[in-house]
Amino acid sequence: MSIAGISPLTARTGWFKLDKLGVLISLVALAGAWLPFVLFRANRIVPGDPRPVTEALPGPWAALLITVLLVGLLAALFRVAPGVKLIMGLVVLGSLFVLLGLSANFLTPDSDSFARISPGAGFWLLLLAFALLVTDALARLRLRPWVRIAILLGVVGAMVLLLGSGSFNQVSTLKEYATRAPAFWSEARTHLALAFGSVALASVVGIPLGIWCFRIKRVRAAVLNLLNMVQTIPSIALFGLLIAPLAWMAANIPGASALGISGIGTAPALVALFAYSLLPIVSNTLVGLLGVPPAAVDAAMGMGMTGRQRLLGVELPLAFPVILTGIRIVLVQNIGLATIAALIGGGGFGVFVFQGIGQTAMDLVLLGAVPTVVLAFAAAVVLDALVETTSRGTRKP
Amino acid sequence: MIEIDEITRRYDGEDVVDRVSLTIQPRSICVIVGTSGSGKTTLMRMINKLVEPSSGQIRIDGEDIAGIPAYELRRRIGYVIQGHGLFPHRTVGQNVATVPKLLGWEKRRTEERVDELLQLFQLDPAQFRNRLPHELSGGQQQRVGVARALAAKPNILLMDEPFGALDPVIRAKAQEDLLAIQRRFGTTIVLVTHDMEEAIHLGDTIAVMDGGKLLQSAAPAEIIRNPATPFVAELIGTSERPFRLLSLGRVADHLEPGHAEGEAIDAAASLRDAFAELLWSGRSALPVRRDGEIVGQVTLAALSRLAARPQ
Repeated sequence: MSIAGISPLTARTGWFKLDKLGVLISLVALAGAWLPFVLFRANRIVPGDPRPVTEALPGPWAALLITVLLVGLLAALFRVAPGVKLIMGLVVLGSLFVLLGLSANFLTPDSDSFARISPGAGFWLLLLAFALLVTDALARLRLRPWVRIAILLGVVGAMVLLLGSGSFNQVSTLKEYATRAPAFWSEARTHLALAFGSVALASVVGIPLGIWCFRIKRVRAAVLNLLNMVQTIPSIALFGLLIAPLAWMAANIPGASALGISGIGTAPALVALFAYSLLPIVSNTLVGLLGVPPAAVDAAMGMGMTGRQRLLGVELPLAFPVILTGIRIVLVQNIGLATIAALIGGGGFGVFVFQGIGQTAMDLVLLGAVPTVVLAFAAAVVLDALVETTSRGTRKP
Repeated sequence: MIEIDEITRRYDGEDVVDRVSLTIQPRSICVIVGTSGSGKTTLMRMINKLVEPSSGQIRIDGEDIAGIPAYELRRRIGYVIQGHGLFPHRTVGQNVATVPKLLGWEKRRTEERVDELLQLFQLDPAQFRNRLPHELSGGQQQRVGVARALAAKPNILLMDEPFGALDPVIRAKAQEDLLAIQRRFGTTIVLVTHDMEEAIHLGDTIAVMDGGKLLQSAAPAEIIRNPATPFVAELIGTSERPFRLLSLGRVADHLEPGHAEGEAIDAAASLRDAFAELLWSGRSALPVRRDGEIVGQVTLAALSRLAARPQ
């Protein structure tokens, strides 16, 4: 028999081979399907009453969800093309969200504004399982950066549509949002200002500092050790430690308080986030510059570039993807870390998290946590794509 | 003309280059040969001030280079290094345009020069101008490296092991290209290599270095016939001497009248190739062809005399 005759056969049997990660995903998804899909509560702080899929949705919709889940499970379990896995994963995730909204509308008694429907353990596990399927498929597809950004935009657009359509309004977290809409958006602005502002400041200071460390070997160890020490201070302690010096500055330096500097509030939060950002940015700048091919540097010197021309024209552009990777790390880190700023009155999404913990209202915690996670994830996708596009030619073929 | 006068470079009390004096004639190729650590690269790098001498002087066309700012001097001297040293983030066109841009040439003039050079190196500008270096083969990268060094029409070209990373076939082609370009532009070339074969093939003058000292500087034939020290003789390779000597001559210069049988050899071939053909075909003479006509013969007896040690 010819080789050509064998290959379609092996391709066909390949279809039935199990996917290792798919087995894990399937187990998690099965557990998710078995656990309660939503929790029903008579008001926002009483313990929930679990409802499985079959009770959470009207019959036809429950059947639809189970069918979609089964198909998604098969796509995860077997070795099918990553594109198929991706599409099935997205279909399941979309169905989960749409049906969660539907379930909330279905379960909420008419004209009852106290009842709360929140996602149950089953929903979260299903979300985890199929998010894993999607990210795995995306990694295997090795899509071009702009395609990944397009997919991100598509997902964000779908979320905006879903939230804007009002079909999600009966879900508990959105009920918390409804009573706090103005506060939510002002805290969102603060959160973004804290995360992006601290990273911008750290870049303005950190990149020149990294260049300085690169140029002058003697300062390298000192600067890096100092920044390493800052990094080891627990975040809450650093927020606290900054209260005294900043309060002193606000009281004793003319104009300081006019600039918004005070012992508690946004200023110490910004300073602490800035301090945490410095080490990754400085060390990535240094590593990036050290990684520039020596031949390119020698050629640049040999052709008569001045030190400045060499730095701006050759060294920094070649180090840029590594520097950008550092910025990506701190941006994602600071979007998460900015949540703690609320502890010292710095604002941000952390306000809802801590209020929610104080009131044992998990829905309110989610109102702060979910946007934070979405923001961090989106920032990671966008910056990864940027890193990839800027590293053209610098990686070995 | 490059005059190197009693130049010394000291690192941590050790003379890496030790009181070397060498004059390089304009429009000639000077090949500096030596083993690694002989100081040959350091000597070359002092010509464009990538290394500052500890003592001594280098003059280019009579002007002491100590008085010229380093970046200004370097823009006047072409520089090619092993492994090409192309800027990986810049296109082929941008790489070639580096020095013209530093010199502030007009955009039009720079673009024309880039296309002219790419054509000269058999790289179709439309096809290669916007490619990135990593998309090119090793031989193409090396050619772009030389094109970049020649962009601002320098009188002097410094080359540090320029063909070291190439495989033998591509290297031979690159060497021929370099000779053609040198003849065309009359560039003064200083080339560093550890390969004596390459030195004999390319050099008008060969400067042999060892332990920081210049042992001998002379024409290839002179170096082969009269090595100044046992080390120079060893570098040439004692068993290689007759063949190296033959490789310097052309069949056209040693034609004899008469008629020989069999396949003819081209008049432009080297005596070494003729000798090899004689031995391989078991003949005592080869007919010589020039422009398709038989113009005479070259004999084994004559070649044997030419390859013998001069008395």
